[in-house]
Amino acid sequence: MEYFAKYTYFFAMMLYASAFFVMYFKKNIKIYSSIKSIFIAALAVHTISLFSYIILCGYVPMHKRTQYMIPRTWGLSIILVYTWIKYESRLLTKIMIFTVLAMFFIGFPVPAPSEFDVMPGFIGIRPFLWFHIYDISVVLFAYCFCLSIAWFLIKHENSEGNAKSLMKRIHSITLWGFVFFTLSQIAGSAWAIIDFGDYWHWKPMHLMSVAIWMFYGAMVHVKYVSGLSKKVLPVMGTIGFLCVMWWGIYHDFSKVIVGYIKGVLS
Amino acid sequence: MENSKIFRLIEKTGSVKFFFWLSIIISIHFYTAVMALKAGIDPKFKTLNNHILIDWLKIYGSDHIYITSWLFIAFVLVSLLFINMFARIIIELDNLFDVYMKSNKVLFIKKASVFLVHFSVVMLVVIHFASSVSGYKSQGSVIKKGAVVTHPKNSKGLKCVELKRTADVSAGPRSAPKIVLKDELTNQAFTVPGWNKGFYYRVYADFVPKIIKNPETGKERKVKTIGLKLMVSELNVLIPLIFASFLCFAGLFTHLLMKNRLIAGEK
Repeated sequence: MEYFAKYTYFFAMMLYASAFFVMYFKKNIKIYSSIKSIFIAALAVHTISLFSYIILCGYVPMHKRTQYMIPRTWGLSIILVYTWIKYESRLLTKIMIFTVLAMFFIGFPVPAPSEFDVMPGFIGIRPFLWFHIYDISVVLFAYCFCLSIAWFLIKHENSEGNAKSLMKRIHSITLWGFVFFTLSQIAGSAWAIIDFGDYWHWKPMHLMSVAIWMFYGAMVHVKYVSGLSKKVLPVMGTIGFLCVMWWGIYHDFSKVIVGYIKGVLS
Repeated sequence: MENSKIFRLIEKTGSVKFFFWLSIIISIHFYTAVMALKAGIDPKFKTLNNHILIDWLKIYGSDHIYITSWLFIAFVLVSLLFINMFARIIIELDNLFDVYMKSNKVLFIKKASVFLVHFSVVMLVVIHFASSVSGYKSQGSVIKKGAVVTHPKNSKGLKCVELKRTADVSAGPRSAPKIVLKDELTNQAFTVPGWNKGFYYRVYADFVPKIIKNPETGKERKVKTIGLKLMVSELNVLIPLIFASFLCFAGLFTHLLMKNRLIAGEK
């Protein structure tokens, strides 16, 4: 049972990857229903894995990137299956599978339930609310990222109608992502006040929250700003999610960049 | 009102374009700080947690010029944001009044929801600024039973006469403690959190480094523990903060509801 949860998660990822390869290599054959079956199977396996983790750990995996990627990839997979059934867009689906797999690799190696650890005070309804509302916003930002990449590729193919529809969806998803992110910050502040005694600490996590909030706040307002290029929103959608992921990957990369800059300057 | 010079100025100040570029700059500014912090450029940044902003600038300001300049730029940017948002809510109030007079209920609620969100952001900026410049934070001393915490307005300090923490881990790092402090100057005891002589006292949890020696190998190891520290404010910002958060939540929720309703109506 201990490794069942872990390996069913790996198996679900393999199923997504196999769907990606089927879509990639069988371009001219109508494969809608077979892909749909693979997706539904993958989502079912993924759900079993997630619930196994919840049952064995007693909480939804969170707090560390190797843990919170499980519910986040699950959230994006639900949207992936929904998008495939509703729009049948091969391009967008391929990008979404790629993103799910990238998130999986970022969280690799996924620990088994007994290897999970959680900081004292990170158990309970308050951190639970904050973490998982934040997870929802990250999933929506990930979807926004996929739509943005799809917009660039479709634009490259000169498909104006599809590009317009994608742009509308990017606007809508950005707003939802921003709302959930704001809610997560309200929930997080409430938790911080109750459990830590203060809502604001001068530390990277809080500064990063402000940066993300302002960035997506700007994105929400793009359609009301005159004179901006159409590319601005997809570019921001891409950069925003990469920054969120960079934060999730865990930030020591900045040492490399700053070290490099220092080296160049010296 | 639309034609007046003042209103045109307000419209320019509260423009969405201005907000857009300003928020991107703020975002980059904060992101830079995150990268610099993670790269360990100036570890003194974290001492900001032990002081209110004004005190920190007095003590460390001139020695830590990178942090001081970062704080100054952040202050200018957030002030500009405040001006922009304030101008925006004036414009929105005017629009709201117009829509109300035309008796368009749906549009009124939609515009009111946006107004609520912007208004709550202005409130949050004001509340945060007020709490950053008023009061006093203890300078790193951890509250323990019997320990005396110093206070600039109280030369003899405050003695902790009672400290009870619950054993329940799920109660959080602060563990809902009951703390009683005794004013050494007047010999009067009071419970924390609570008011005493014009100051609001509460505790906050902070990571405190501790060195643990392994009895078998004799090796020393640095670990993080959670200590309770005292925060003294002239204002209790918690209630206005909860109110502003509630307004923000209500505004966002209503906006999404109305947006989907309007889209459904268009279909």
